Amino acid sequence: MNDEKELDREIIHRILDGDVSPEEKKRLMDRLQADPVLLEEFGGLVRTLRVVETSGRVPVPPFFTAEVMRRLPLKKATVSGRIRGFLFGSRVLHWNMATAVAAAVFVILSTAVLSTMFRGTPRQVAGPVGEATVRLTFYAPQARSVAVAGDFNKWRTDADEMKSNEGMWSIELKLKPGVYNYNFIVDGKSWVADPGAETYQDDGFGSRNAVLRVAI
Amino acid sequence: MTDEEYEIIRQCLDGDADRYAVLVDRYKTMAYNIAYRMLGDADAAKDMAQESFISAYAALEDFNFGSRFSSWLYRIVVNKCRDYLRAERETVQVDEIGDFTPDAGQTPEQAASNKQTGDVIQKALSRLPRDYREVIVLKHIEELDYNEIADILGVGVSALKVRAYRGREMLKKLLEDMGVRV
Repeated sequence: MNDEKELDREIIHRILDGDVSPEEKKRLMDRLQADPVLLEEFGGLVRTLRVVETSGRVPVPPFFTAEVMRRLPLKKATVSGRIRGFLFGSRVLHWNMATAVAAAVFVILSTAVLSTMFRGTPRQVAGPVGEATVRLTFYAPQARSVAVAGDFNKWRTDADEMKSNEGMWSIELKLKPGVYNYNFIVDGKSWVADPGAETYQDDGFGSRNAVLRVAI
Repeated sequence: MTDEEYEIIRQCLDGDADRYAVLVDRYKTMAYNIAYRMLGDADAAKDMAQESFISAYAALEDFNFGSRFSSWLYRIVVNKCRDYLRAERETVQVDEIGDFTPDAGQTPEQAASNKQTGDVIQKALSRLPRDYREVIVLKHIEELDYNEIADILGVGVSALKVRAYRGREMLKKLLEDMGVRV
């Protein structure tokens, strides 16, 4: 009798595991019809799992991904990776007057040399004087809009809207040397200190601002 | 696991850390929920889930291409939770359970939609022995199959089924004792 009960129980759990054979299932159905106690036991386990399964998932705290990304350790690329990255990787150039002058000198010298070999017009890119180009990024795939507001645009929330590429929002700002406080505005309402900022500063209202240092 | 995920991991190994955000975003819900169900504490779950992503990133060189990133990550989550519980000496707060009695007339379905009952389920899970809790969470909440759970926990499928059997019986008893009619 006890062996029978134990076998019933094992079949019940095999059903709950989803790996019961048709023969076992038929045996259990017959037994359930004949034994109300067993039926109640089976029903109790099914209802228990239903309660657990329908308890649902808890929502992930906001800015989870951004916080992880901010805390990632620096990783050295492999040699093959460095070569691949050098050849095919996208890159952001932070440049200023000194590098612009150096680049211009290089281009002029190169042109002078090359013009003795080929005839053509070299392309030249001129940059603003006394300003650096700074690129800000923020990962927020669920956001519908992200803007940046800070000392550099008088904290206007509609002055510098960022563009999204698969949830990675970015913007390039041309800024004069100095120290700037700033924050991101997500969907026009949530203020977020840049998780990737090097430092932060208390805003005096219980929150903090990201701090950006620009040097030429 | 998709080829796309392998490619993302290669890009991370090549120094493009930004690409890791795609994996974090894809698996954060499961990682956080596993930690939450294991620990029963939202703050600790967030810490452990985030630490898991960071540890996985730091150890990407050891990732075995051909296996699932998700299984590898969940194994790290489970181990982080085990370490946390060990440090806490398994003192998940369960002493308030006796004070809790939901309405006796509720069906389980009604009760499940009730936040209080959600709390009771979490407390019942917290009272399960850790080995049983892990299997119940991964099998019946995250709905992973036994082979993947075996991969995550490093335990054979047969042993997992025994744990699931005992865990389900114990969970039913715990919920009954806590006033949930099942």
